[in-house]
Amino acid sequence: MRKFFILFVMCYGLMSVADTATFKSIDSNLLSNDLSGELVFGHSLSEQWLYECTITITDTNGNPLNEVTAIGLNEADACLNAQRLARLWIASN
Amino acid sequence: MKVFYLFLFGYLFSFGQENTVIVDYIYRTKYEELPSPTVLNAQLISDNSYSNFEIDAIGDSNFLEEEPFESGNGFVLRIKADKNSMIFKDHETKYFYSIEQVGMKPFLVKDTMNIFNWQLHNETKEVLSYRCQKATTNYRGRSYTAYFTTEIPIKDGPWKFYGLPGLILEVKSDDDVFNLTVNKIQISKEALNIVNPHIDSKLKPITWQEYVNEYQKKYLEYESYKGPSGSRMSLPKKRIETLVED
Repeated sequence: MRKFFILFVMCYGLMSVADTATFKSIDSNLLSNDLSGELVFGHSLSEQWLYECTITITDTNGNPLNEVTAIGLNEADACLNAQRLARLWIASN
Repeated sequence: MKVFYLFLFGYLFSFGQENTVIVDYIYRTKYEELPSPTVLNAQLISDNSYSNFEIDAIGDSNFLEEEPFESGNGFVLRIKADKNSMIFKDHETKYFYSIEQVGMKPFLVKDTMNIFNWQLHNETKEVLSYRCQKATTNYRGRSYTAYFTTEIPIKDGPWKFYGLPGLILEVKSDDDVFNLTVNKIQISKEALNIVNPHIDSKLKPITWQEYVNEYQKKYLEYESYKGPSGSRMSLPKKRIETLVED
């Protein structure tokens, strides 16, 4: 039990100081003009075994509409998945 | 005959006293989960019978397509809107009309204007040389402080705000997410034709509660969503107004 607790603290510590990477690969065609009113930002949080990318979509007045999060084996993979999901969501709404 | 002239004079005089105000505001929202505030110009046109509040996203001169996080951990991409957000108040029926969204799907909401339970305070301050009195309210999940003036003969306010004995020139949420401050006031005796911008909308008006029900349905649907590669989606519980209770 104690070992598990130490492991948990170590994992938590790793995640807290995880290397953050700038997400700059968002496809500007993600939101076409007819789907105006969106604002998108994204960031990815990388650590040893997991890459996660979140895109928040907001309306033009700055109000958040949706948050899509995807996981990948690496940063590019995670961001690609998040973009794919965001694109799908926008197209289907 | 004398009575007729008196009546005519009275009618013309009262018409000449008609007041319309055009008030420019700075509209600012700053959500915790977003990297920077959104600051836009907004305008209220009111004549005590009808009013229209428009947030000018199209004419935003500070529009930046891309904006980095200060910390360097990401950036913002903005796509310009093709329509401004408008809230129309019908003071005679006491209903206002606004476009609300569930995700990206728009809904035309017809909501009652009597939704604000204001507390008046003795505190006053000057705003653009008008003497303003403080008022506070709790509205759909946030606490607000407003300053209104009775020196302008209009009882109205920006955005959805209404119900004070004067014109609201400033209103802020106590958590600083929502902030509206006056920039310029024009008072005119000329009558303006203020029409409901949503009148030609193909959307059927629904009540606020019906809108909230739609939102909550979608919220729950997204909460259980598990996409490929561990992806997930979530609608915010709270925007300016609380939509899903904790």
